[in-house]
Amino acid sequence: MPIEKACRKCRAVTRESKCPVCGSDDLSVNWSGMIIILDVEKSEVAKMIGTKVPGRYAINVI
Amino acid sequence: MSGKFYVVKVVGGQEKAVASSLMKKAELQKLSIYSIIVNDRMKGYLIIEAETPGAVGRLINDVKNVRSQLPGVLSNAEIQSMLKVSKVEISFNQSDVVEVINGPFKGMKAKIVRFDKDKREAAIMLLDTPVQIQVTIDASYLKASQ
Repeated sequence: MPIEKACRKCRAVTRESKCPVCGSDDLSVNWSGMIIILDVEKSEVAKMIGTKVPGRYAINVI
Repeated sequence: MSGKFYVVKVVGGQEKAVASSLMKKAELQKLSIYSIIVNDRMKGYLIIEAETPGAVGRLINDVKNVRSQLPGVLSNAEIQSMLKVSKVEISFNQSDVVEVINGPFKGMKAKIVRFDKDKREAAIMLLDTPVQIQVTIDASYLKASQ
């Protein structure tokens, strides 16, 4: 199974070669922490990280 | 109604696995859970953003590797500081000795031949191989060797 990477632009975590959220191919294997957004409308965390797409995000991406 | 941040104690080292199980359960049972945070600096704990403590109770009930729900809530300011991105700039100089931490050369020592800061790529010379091999590698695969 391909290793999980995080997008350096939007921090989304994926196993694909392109970010499923912003489409960027600038992905990093060096990331830590995880945020799972389930309800983008009601989540304060979604607003804090500036996303409108549910899913998994890294806290830090190097 | 905006959510509050509740803390749940889980088995240390299982934080991400438990978070994934909770995510699936919340989606399946349509619970009022808004987000789940795994902070690497809080080993053995998860933060759950939910409408009520009851929703968190229903979420963690009978889930493997979950210990208990802690009383009280965290403030938005505490969460904000937790999520603040610490920008770590990667920088290597020529001849720096580094360790490869990912990919097919994981665990090998190497010397930096060239570092491209914009592309975040480094040309490295592997030191642990009998023949000197130069490869170009993503800089996030490298860490400075002691």
